Amino acid sequence: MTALTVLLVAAALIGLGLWGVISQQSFVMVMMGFELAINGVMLAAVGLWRFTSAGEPKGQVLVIVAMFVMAIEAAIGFALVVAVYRARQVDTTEGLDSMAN
Amino acid sequence: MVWSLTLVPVLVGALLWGAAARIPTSRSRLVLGGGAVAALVTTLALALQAARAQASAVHVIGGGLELQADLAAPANVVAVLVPAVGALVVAYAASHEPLQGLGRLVGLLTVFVGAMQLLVTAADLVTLTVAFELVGGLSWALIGHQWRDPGTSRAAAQAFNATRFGGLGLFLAAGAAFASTGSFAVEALPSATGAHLHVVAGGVLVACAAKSAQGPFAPWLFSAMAGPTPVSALLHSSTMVAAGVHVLARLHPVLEPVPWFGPATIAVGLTTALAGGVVALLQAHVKKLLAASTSAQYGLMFVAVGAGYPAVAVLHLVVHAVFKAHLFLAAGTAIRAVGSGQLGRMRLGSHLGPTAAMAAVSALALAAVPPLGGAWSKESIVAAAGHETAWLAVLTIVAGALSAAYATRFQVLVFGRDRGDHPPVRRLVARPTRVEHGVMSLFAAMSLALGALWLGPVHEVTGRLLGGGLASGPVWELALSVVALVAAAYATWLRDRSHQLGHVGTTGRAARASDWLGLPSMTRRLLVDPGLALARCVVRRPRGQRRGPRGGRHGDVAGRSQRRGRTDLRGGRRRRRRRDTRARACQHRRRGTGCRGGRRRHRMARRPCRRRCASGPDRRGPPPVRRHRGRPGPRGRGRRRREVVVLTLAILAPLVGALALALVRMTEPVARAVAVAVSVVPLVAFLAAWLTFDPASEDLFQLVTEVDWLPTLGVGYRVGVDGIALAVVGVTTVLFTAAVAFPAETRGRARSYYAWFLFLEAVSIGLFVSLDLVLFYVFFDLSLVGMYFLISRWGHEGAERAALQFFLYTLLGSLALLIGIIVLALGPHHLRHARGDRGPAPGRCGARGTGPARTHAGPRHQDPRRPVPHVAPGRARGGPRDGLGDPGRRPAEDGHVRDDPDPVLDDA
Repeated sequence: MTALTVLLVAAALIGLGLWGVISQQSFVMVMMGFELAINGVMLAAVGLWRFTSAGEPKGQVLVIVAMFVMAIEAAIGFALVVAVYRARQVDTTEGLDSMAN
Repeated sequence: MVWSLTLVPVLVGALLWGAAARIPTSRSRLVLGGGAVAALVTTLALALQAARAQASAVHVIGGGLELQADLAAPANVVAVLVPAVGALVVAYAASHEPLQGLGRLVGLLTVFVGAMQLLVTAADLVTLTVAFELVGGLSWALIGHQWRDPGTSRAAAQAFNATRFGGLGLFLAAGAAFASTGSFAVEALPSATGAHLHVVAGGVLVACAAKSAQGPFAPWLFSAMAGPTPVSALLHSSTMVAAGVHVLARLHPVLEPVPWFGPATIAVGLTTALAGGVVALLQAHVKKLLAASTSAQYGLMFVAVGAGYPAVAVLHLVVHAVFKAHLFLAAGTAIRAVGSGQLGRMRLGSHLGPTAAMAAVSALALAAVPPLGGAWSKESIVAAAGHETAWLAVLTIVAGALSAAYATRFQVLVFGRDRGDHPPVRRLVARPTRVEHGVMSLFAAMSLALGALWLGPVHEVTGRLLGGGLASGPVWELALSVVALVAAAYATWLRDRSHQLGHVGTTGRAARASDWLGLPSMTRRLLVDPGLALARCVVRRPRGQRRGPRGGRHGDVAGRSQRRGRTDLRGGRRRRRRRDTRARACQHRRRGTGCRGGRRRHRMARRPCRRRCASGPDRRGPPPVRRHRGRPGPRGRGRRRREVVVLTLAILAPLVGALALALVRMTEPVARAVAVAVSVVPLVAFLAAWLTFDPASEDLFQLVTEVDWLPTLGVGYRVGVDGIALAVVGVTTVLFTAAVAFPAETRGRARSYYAWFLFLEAVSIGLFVSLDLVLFYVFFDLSLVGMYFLISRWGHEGAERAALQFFLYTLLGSLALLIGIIVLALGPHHLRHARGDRGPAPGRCGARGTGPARTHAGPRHQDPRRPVPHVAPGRARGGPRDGLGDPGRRPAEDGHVRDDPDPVLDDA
């Protein structure tokens, strides 16, 4: 287990997540892609922390903050998805094709 | 002070957009226009004051990153220009544009001025990059304002992508600057060395060329003409495209030492000026003529920068902004009067007399006719070019002649005398309003006033203000310019006499030539088509889903809802309540077996269920929640327990609430109120815990409660928090409160919905505060149960299957967790150390507190009756070795090796 391995896996996760965000039609899948990308970022942070700062709490705090951001962003994001669904009855990105004015 | 230049327009613009729906329609234009103009005039006053005081500001973000802004030259002049032009254009927009979406237009225009001010005042490359991207994004939103027209969105995307692509150059430059100087500030750039400085210069040049629609990036400005006229007047003639020249002028002292920078800038600028001039003569649409002219004029400014006179470029920027914005507004009035932008259909000189007269002033300035200000700045550019080489001055004079030609073409075709080519009786579709006239007259007055630049004192003061020298050249340049200008104008007028001026070929070579000499088709073939082909190969369309404008399987429902016109959220809530009433009455709808004799309809479809319900409405809730789950048992065992119940309260309160909701009959609104109230209790408990938490304490965990449960296994109800767990509990409680309060479709089973939700909240909090692995595992599996029921009963199509899938997958994972826990609990002693606990209990294995030597002994004798030490969630505790490694081998800071945070021993 080297730093390079961990960072490669993290980069792969971020890439997968990014591809998911760009290519998926369903809102839920877009959010999943985004969560995957943030997980990749967290993995990269943890990996770097493990191989460099060796025990300092600061690196962990970044990961915890990212976790909080993920949780809150998912909550707000899904609330928005539900609101959009109730207003427009669509759950795909292609389905949203109008604005209020 | 400097940040207020950005913040005031941004906040007011956002406010105007947000509040636009609440303004009564009759006063909408007045309120929106008045509010925006007031905000921008305030910004103008602030900018004047900041420029006079030479203010600067630093915003420290931390970790060495800070945002800097100041009003050094040329920012002091441009920061005053932007809100001035913006205020006038916004007034025009509020009066000229249709009411639909006017709030968004005016709001975004105001926000744009704020973002542009950020760009103008940026003093370090990070702020500059941020502002670049902000301005590009706002440009996209403004060009695509009339989104109902499909071509507009495509055009907005083209413009955005072109500037975004160029913006990568700025990212590159910022990275190179940081790599070589260790800071992003512009004033630190001179210390950049060697290759880094070349990268910075190249990146900045590419980004500025893209932003100012120069060279290969020129066609995006044509796409940008799809936006409303005020957007073109503000963004794509005076301000956003000016960003390129402004940044070049600002960074010129730093980039001048780079040997190829000057010649490259001149080359880019000159080719664009000449090509733009030619292309402008071939246009059939008035806005595209002006767009090509904009590119050409910015090319001239690039020539000035490359020749080493950034002050001249900025001067021409200011003068050009005034007359070009005016020309765009005049074109907008003409377009609305005729109903089309085609040059061949205008000739409104006799119909729009005042507008034509005022536009003539700006057209003369565009043609650089002395003694207008436009002439002075253009002559300065010619002189600057002449300082490089004489033939460069000649080429610039040729470009100036071309600008005279297309200025004449514009004025003649748009505001020329009607020659009877059209039907004799022509009625205008719309006349210009008083506000439009007022704005245009102000612009004309400013153009006239800028003619004062010809006076010696004035241009000397201006030069000092702009922080640089203004070039002056030999008289032959001025003479040659005037001669070329007159010749070009005369040639155009002659062509008009022969009725050829308005005719532009629309097919073949002529069409390609008018479209930037074939550049867009080349770009499309080289870049766009391969990219799209690659994308098509990669994307796999899901089976059976149409990729149409109305979306996939919900197409018909979406159409129905839109036909009914209920597209607001309030309508959604009204619909939901009616559906709930029907759903309560019919169990088939609830169970998802569909209506209409079994044909599956979407649950949100607003059709009454016609199926005969054999049984009545089902109002029973879920079976009561399991209670026996490790209630606090007998205390004692010689272990002192803290009198802290905050965390246990946080776990128990939602459980009690869930039970109450499950057993007691109540109506849905009451159930919801009870659920929200109960879900606030853990939030309050968290706040209490936060207040009593001591961040400087030496304990690993605080607020600990311990009760033995299975003493032979060493399992107990142990809860406690450290800093991280406390924060996680905080987030959990907040999110759960929000989620419970969110209006949900409870489908007639509100009580059980909220009961399960509260159960899940209790279990989730328990997860995060448990200090015992078995307790953790119990909470974990209980959360699976709660999730299963919530998903399967209140989910949408395929919910049962999805819930089962979720449960099985996660159960499998948790079984692996269980195996891990068992191995840990029963395994050899040294494995226990690897997890991060603190080693054996002092009382069991000998004297305590003997320091490091003890801990490095071999595996100790395992006392079989000794309870399994509970494991803290893995947390490293200092030390330079192995990050996540085995701090268990290392004693705590005070030298004592402890098993569990026993309060008695801790104090010793």
